[in-house]
Amino acid sequence: MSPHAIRSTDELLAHALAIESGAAQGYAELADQLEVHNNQRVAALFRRMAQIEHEHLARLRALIADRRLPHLAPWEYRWSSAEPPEAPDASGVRYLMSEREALELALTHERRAARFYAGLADDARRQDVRVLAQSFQAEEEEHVRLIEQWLQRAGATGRPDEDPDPPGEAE
Amino acid sequence: MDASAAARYTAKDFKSAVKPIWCPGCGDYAVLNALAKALAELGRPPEEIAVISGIGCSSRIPAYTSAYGFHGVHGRALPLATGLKLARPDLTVVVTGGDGDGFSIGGNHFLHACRRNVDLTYLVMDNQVYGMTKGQASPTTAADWEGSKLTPEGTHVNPFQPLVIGLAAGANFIARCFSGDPNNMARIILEGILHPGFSLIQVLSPCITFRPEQMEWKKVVRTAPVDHTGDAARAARRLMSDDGFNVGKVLYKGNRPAFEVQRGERPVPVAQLERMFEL
Repeated sequence: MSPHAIRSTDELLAHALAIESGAAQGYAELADQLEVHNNQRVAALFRRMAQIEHEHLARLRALIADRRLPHLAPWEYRWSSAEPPEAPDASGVRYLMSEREALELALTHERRAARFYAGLADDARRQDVRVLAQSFQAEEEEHVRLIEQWLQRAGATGRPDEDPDPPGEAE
Repeated sequence: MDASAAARYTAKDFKSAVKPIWCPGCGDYAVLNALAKALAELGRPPEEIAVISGIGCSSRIPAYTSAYGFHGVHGRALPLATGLKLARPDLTVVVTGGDGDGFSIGGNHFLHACRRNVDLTYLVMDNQVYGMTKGQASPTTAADWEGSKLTPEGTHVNPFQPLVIGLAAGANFIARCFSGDPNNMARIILEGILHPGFSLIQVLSPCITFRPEQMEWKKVVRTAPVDHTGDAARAARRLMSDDGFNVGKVLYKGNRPAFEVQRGERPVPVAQLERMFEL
């Protein structure tokens, strides 16, 4: 389905809620995964991303207040990706991944979310939908800039540490 | 599905506080999420749902859900689930496991679960390897896979074809999904739960640790080109010519009535059963 089929602010808010919840939950799950596997630096980074998304989610919930949004099943949302655009791809993580790799993963998804809202704003037929989509796009672009700054400070190497316990070794 | 009830639950309501310990990047995370989403849309409370499993990485799922669960014996998830569903037909019973658990040690139970057609939904996370025991060939591993030191030149044994065999044995609903598309998987799981009888859902779920080449599956899978059929012979022809990467759709939907305990043969109450076993 095309994102351009979104026709009302309620529908847009329902999508935004799914995007922000998906991102907050997704980063929290990645932090848990990396914590279990003792990659504490990357776990902390994902935890920070989850916190940022939770703050964004809280602002969104305040905006929604007591509006009754339409219920959409997970497969009824109108994004072209399999998951909400900002939700980090869980298949893209490795237990020995570096901070740079984690930031690159986050950047991909923040950019995708910004593009999603930009496309929606461009094609919106109603002014209120366009304005709301643009405000969400601006927030995502802020996240993009933040991650780009973090990337500049991150180490140059994207190569993961050597695996001290490679799979199959003890078979 | 009751739309107002579905809105009452979210996927989070169906996850427990136990953190999964699968390898980061494992496809099973997405399957857990898809299952939780499907159960939220089903609209039944967690206490009216049971998730049953055998042994293996994917069989850990019951611990990660808030529904009732039973992490059973290797290969015996289906008989456990069959017994539960016949004793408590009011429950929604989902069975989860992997290709090794389901098609090797549990292979005979798989055949007869399909044949009995009890109203269960069997979610098989197929990664073509025994991951929990560090990467041996499983029933669905290709004959020429040389990744294990136990079979350095491959197994030379043709892989088990679960969907064709499930169809031939009598499964009433057959689908294949990919872990990279969890929202569509959630839709298919819900459809499988709502379809009467035995629903078999194969999920291609990559093992990042012992089959890292499976991370390329996302480039290979495609949406199945045709919609489901209710004609078993046609479904068999499609599945026999299938390369295993047609995903994201239901492939077969039969109309056999689900096996149920006949009226008047309801199981006796637990207290009465206990008295029968008193020494």
